[in-house]
Amino acid sequence: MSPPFRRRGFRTLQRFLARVSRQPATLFALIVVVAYVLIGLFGGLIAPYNYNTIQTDPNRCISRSNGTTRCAALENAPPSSQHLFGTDRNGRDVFSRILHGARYTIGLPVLATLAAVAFGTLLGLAMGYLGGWFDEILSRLVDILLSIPAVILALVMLSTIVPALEMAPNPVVQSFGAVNIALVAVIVLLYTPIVTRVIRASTLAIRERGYIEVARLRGESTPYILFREIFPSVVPALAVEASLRFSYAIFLVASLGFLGLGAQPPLPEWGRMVLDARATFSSAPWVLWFPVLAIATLIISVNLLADGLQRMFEEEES
Amino acid sequence: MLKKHLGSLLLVLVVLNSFAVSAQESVLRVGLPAVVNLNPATGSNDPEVLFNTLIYDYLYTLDGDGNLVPSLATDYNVSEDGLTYTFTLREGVTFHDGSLLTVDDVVHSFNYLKTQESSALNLLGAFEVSGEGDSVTFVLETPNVDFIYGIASNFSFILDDAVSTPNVLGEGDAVFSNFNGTGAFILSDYSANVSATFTANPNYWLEGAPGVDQVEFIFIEDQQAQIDALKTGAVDFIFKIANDRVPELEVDGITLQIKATNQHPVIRLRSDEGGLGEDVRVRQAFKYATDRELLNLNLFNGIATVGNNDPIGPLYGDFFSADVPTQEYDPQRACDLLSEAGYPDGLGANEPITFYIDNAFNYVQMGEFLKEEWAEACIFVELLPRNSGDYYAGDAETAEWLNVDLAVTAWGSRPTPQGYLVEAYVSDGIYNESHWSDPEVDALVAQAGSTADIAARAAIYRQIAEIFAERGPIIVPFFAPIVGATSDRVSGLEMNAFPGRTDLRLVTVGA
Repeated sequence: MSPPFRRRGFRTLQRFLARVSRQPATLFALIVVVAYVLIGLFGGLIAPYNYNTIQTDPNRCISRSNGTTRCAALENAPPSSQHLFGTDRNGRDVFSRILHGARYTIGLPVLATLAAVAFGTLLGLAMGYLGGWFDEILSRLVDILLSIPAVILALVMLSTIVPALEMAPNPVVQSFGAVNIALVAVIVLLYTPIVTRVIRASTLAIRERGYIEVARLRGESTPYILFREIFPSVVPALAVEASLRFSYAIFLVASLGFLGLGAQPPLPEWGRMVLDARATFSSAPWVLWFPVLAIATLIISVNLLADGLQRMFEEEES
Repeated sequence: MLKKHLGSLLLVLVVLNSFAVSAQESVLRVGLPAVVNLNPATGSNDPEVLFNTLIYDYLYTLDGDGNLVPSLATDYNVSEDGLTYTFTLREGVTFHDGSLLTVDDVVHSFNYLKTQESSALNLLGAFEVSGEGDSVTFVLETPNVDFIYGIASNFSFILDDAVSTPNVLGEGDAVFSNFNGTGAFILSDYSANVSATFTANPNYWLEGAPGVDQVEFIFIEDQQAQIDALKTGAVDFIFKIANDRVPELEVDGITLQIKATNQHPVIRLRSDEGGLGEDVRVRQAFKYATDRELLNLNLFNGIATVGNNDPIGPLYGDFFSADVPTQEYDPQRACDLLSEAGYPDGLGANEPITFYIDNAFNYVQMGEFLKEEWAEACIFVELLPRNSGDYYAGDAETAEWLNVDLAVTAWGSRPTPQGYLVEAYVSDGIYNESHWSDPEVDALVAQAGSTADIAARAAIYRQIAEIFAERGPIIVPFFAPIVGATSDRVSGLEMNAFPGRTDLRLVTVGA
């Protein structure tokens, strides 16, 4: 990266942070989201225990004739100095599981949202700029996809994709896991049409502007016009849309985890943790509270951030 | 003035009278879900069966330990060819309307099961029934050692032959009719989805029964509401309490009722050529790698029955081989066996073995515990919980549960143990999910199927259990408990493993 670019990037970041600092809610949301992303990246390193380490209860042990003694799990222990968020039904430290689980709960939505935004931007730019039959056909396809209820489509896809991937294992499936690949595919299929529609609408408004006409008369290629002339103008809408899609993706991954269709046990995906904690809610509510709190604060923060971004871009335009 | 005082006096009398009635009458109140199907031949869930057991009797019934007990029949004998069963009817038994029980009623009852295509026929098989004097004779088409358990099945109530359609619910003044049995209680009030009241049958044949004046069913669907009702004294007996709610009931004034069912998970390895468990040492390694006692403690707080390596549990009384030795948890032994079998680094060390788990009951939680303890025993797996609909879908060639290498399958309670063996553990069993073939077991199962003598059959089942322990393809970590609870004012109530068959006849209720 050349020094001028680096300087420009730094100045943009400075300007962004200065404007964010004038919006306390957005600043708070940004701090929370950044904190969660850091937890996603490094949570496993700072967690006091591994996510599947079973803590044992010294008061419930079995002594055997061969001289060995094994103890039962310290199940549903309340929060304490040793276990900040208590332990779950299998005696696992809930705090450690939330730290480890951030990787799955945030990582998958990030990956899937990036892919959906990339595909949606490409399609939206092309449809908005080219128009004609290309736009007509793809618009109807987008309409069809948007008319299908998201959760139902996700359930159908997961129940068909996962077994198909498992029946025909390959190195990619073995590396990433059939469920993870299917989840990303589901989110991409669900959110690409939404991003496409937003970017297409922005492109339709921009393509009639004078500088686009000038570029066309200058003989610039279509890719050049799309990515160098139109794309910078749709970035504000794209940023807001990407933030929103990210929050919905987190929610969807957690929801599917709660339905037992997401990450498989013993992986500590937060939605799955809520599912597992449901059975002991009356006797050990803290096992449910903390993953719920984690999901809620993350989603609310991402939404607040999206709102703040939108306000900032609107102020800039006006 | 006099009128005014007369009104007050009457009110006081009414209140006093109600106190007097409640002081005299002992009422057992049961909190349970509403009954839906009251046809005695087909009503199958616990509330429905319990409802009918109050009104009707069986020829033979099963006690809490799964043993046969005479009821309306005093004894029975079987012909040498195993085709003819003759029952002697108890004398002097009357229906609620005062009419005398005769062999015609028994003949009618078993023919009624046929017309209703009752599930009892699965055990009874094909038969013809006739009666003369005080004897009822069943002639079977083929020998059937489970026939006697069909006589005692949940549906084999003895009905009044004068009633063509028993248990009719109506509207208006005739809310219910044709509930005419020989049972210990007479239906006296019924309000759909609300309650049912049964009053004691003063002419009941069993000495000392009924022990209470009234049984009242209070229909409560929600389990939390049932628990609250028991805790506050609104009901005296509830059953089928979810395991995670049991701690709520470990309080003064409430007695827990815990019975072993035969509902059990089967951890099974495919044991045919090329299967994960083809080598008997691998099968044995899994047995040593599974800490059954600790699973019981972790999953059930110790209230389940620790299983062994065969599917016949304590529900089957004499057929349960409790003293067949179980492999004690020994991870080093498991590692050694695997090493001998050609897995020096352990099984699944390079690529974890997919462990399919039917996502039923607490099996996924069990899988999480197993994954950890198996890893200590050189067995490395990744869990794959499957929705039951997906896991059991398909035919013999495609269904996951019938084909994958390593899995947990849910097996529910059956009326007799023979069904498990015939369906899943003989070479040509239709649900032989482990693809195991052992000629010795095949022969023993066939022999058990034609041995009517209970003791001789129990000896055969013991031999089978020993073979399963030595080289069988399955581990049965536990037999799930079923939990009920009574208030401390109740005496003499022992919940049945199928709570609908709980005998309430001799139960008494204190103040």
